[in-house]
Amino acid sequence: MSYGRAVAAIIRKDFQLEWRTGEALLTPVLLSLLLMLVFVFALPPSALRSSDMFVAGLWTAVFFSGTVGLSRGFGRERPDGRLLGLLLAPVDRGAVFLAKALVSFLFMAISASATIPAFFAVFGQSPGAPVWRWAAVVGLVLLAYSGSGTLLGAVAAQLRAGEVLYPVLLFPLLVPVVLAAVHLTDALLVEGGWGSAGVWMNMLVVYNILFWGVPYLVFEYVVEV
Amino acid sequence: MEIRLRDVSRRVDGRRLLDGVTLSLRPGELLLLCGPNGAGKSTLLKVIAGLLAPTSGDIAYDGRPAAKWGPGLRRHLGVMLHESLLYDELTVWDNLVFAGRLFGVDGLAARADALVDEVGLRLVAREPCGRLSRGMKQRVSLARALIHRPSVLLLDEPYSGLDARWAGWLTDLLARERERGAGIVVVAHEWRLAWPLADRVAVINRGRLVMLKDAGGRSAADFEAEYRQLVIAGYEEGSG
Repeated sequence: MSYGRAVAAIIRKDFQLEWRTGEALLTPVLLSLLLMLVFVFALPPSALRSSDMFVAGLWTAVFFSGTVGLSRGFGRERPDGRLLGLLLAPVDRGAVFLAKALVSFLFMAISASATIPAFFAVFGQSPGAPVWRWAAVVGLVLLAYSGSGTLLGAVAAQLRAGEVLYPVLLFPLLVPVVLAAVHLTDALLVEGGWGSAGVWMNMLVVYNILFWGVPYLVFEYVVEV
Repeated sequence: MEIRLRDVSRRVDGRRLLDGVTLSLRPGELLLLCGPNGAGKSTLLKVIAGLLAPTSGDIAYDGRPAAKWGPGLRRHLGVMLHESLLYDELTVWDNLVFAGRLFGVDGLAARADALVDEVGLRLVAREPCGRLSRGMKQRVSLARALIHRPSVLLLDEPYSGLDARWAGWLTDLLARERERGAGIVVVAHEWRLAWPLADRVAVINRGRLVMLKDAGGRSAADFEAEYRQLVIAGYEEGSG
């Protein structure tokens, strides 16, 4: 019971902080929309209407803007020893990882729900598949991103140049997620389902098990100061 | 809760931050921990709080090692570090309620309310902590450490930033906590302020415990003379 209350307390606190600062939610949404505008200005109108460009633009915006929010996850626990304050809570320290990863996922999901419809509108694409299939793909991709991103965020928060190194460390780890996201989105647009890209769905599930399970178990050692 | 440290050391990159420290803290006792900058006082406090692991030695809490207690051990510890542990963007009230939620405090609103009054911050309870003075933030940090009524208080420089009035208030508060049966470790450069309450005094220098004595019946001046001698001797030993 106290475990669940501690997780809920951290999530609630992060939403309170977000309400006051807008760092992890508002900034990524704006960055996504700005990246979309860059694509609009950079591409000829005919290319803008292609599904390949839509897929490339969408995931470029989601992944790049995501780092801004993710780096704030543990970045905001850095000043004034706030992370130590979390580690003093009388619950398994995996609860801190779980709460921070869930917050990152929720922030990215909110951000994506604002930007993805804008991409559909601007790139003139129709979903091609039921909304639940899109939700499953985007949800699994964002879960994978938030799991690995939170783990690396905790590591980066211990380093002096952590915020600078963060994207450099994170993106190589995300290569399988990016590949899965691109193949699955392509299949949704063309086939209306993930039929031929089903293997990428399985890969995403395995990736999620790995990058939520392992950090949860080793978090205590990751944050030892 | 009784805490016993036996031969506790912590080494980082070959540097000895703590070197064979053996001491105990009994319920209802105030242990004053002194030493020069970089002596290892804060490290020792963090080791006792379970934030840092000792590289060797044992720590027992009521006779049981920390591993046997699990995370529930931290429910007994009220910790105030050199860092405030506060969120500047959140109000005094929100910071206390957040800490209370982490500790699963029952009757949290009433407890936070009482602490806001106790630390004299009623008028700024809805202000973000970032707008408070150093001394006010120090009082919020103290309230945060007390929110779950811990049986052990580990306080790193609690007098820092407090003016004479609030320093006197803190001494009274520590006296009340000690009467309640809480074991208290106070790390303080301004050790004279806590001296009247101290049951025992420990001096740490270069990671080693160089003195552990009863404070009762001794004058602050006697202790100061001894302390200076110990610290200067430590410097000479280190440089020689």
